[in-house]
Amino acid sequence: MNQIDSMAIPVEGRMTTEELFELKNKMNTKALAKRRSKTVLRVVANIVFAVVILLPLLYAISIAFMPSNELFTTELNIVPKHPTVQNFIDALRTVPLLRFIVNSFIMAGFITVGQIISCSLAAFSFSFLEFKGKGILFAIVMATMMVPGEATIISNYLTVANLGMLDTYPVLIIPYLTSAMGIFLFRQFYMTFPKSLYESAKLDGCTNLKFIVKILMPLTKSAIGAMAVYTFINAWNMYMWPLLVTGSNNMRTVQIGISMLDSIDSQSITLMIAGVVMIIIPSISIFIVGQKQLIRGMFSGAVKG
Amino acid sequence: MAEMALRNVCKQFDSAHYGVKNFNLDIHDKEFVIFVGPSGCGKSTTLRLIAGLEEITDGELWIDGKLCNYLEPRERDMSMVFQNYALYPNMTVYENIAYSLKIRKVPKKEIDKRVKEVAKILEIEPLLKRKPVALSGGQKQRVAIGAAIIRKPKAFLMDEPLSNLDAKLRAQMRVELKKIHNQLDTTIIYVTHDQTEAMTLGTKIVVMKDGEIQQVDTPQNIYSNPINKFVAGFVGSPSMNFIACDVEEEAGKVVLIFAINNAIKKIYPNNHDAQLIREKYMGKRVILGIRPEDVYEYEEAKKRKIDLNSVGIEEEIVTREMLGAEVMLYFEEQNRTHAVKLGPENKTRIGEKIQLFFDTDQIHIFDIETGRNILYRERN
Repeated sequence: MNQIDSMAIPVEGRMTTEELFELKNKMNTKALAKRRSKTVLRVVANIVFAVVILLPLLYAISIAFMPSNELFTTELNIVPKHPTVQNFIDALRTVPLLRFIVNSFIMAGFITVGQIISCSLAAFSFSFLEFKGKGILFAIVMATMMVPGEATIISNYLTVANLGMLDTYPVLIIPYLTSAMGIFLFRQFYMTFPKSLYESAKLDGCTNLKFIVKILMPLTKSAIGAMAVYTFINAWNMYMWPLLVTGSNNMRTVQIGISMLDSIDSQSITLMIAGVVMIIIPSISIFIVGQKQLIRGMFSGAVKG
Repeated sequence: MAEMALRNVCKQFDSAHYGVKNFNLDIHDKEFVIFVGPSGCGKSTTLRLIAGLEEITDGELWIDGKLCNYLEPRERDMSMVFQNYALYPNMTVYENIAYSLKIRKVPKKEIDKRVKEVAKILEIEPLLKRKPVALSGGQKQRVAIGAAIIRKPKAFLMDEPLSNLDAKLRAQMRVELKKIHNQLDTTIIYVTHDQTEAMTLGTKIVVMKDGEIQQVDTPQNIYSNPINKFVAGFVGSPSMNFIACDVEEEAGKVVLIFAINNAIKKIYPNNHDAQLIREKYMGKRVILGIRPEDVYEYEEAKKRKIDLNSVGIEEEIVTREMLGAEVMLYFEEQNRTHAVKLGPENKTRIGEKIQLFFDTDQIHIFDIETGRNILYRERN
């Protein structure tokens, strides 16, 4: 008796080959049907939830393409009957939206790059270097996270106004060049970084800066990506500060531009929504490009990888 | 090529806590020095002090006649192999090995030549284009060693480099490290908690405990002539058996007596040892130490002309381990388990009793309070 014979299934011997074949078939079909129905259920449930969550966004996109007379009816118009791009044209004509988008890009771009550089350098010293007062200093940095932005906005405004910086790019960018959140994020990431790599680099002859540029940054790309997406979207969505410090169309950012589409005299929902749809495109596309990095960055270090 | 001297080196973590205390050691060129000790004994810290990764709080570190306490790690010209290899994951094996030369702006041609040389020595030529992720533990270890030796530094520092490898690979790498040491003809300082590595690799062993040096000597001397009970117990596997006993005189001869369950057991040390014991310890309690391989059964003891006068060393076996080339028998005495290493022909089973004879030329006697080896032979 060889190995395979001894491993026969328990019902063998009591049935013919055909009966056995049929039984196997029946069992397999049943199990497969069960598995497939489970998958279908799961997909359906996911779609339902996705629709519920995305509905406002999808409806907004739909409204943006609607002539305004279709919106203000008693009928429930979910999809535009006569789709039009007139709203977009009007929105671009009412306010210099393109200019605002460029402004926002410049502002958000500089803030993102600035934060990545300053936060990673600060986080490097908080995680790799040993110096007196490191713990206290880090606690102070973290404590600033507890101060709400609104609390400092007036004094910040007075400072920049006295410096004569109002209505310029620097005033939009400089106050946001670093963030406690970013330092914290990078530090958490660097804590999982094997210290022996740093020590090895030091023995190999690396200076700290060389280590950061040549080894640390290439290896923490996902943290940088996560940080970049997070910072960019935050900066893109800033409202209060740009509203306060910018006065001319040359310097305004998109979020303010959108509010300019809303005027008490001629309120047009479709026009505003068209503007909104236009300005969320950059942030959504950045998120789509960076989402892998974002998720990897947020969860890195959770398990040993 | 380095002569190193550590003078009263201390590493103080806080006011009461020392990592390393009064460390004095001379390391000569081409020595293979091993720091060994239980975990937390300060051996890694000492290595990191030499590398410059930790600051020396007191004392002096001299390398080639230069005081190096405050020199940056990169200025000390040492290279280090870490326990977790510390390869740069974003670089290929080739780049990893070449990196320290690249930083030092060595010409590309020269780098290429040396990387190939090193790869040949370590037999990693086919791996040069791979990233560290695609390597096995043993291969990573070779690459790490390659990255360390390419620079031809004053000394190599190795911090438990083999402890992440499986037993077989470890044995293999041990042999290769020895080979590399011979080939490179350079100073290696090696930290391990594994006493087999210490014994097989080192030309000089430094046994440490609680941040202090216990003994510095050749492997052979550490084994056969330990300075105290700690060193005796730490080196050797299974470790030395320790039995407390009383020193008494019997018809003009020194005798070591230990009584268990009303059964009196006696051991007669040889004349030389008896002399040393008699001086200070007559009538006192001491600790007798004997290695498992220095205990024999009757036939073997007779063959080896071992003193058979020892009375009543009959023990009941509690555990038996057949290791192929030898048999380990364990018996209990004074609430401790003691080991005996006998030939494979021994058939004693658990629960049976066996007559055991200690080779009295190989016994060690320790002071019960200080742990000092009374029979320690000073060299010179």
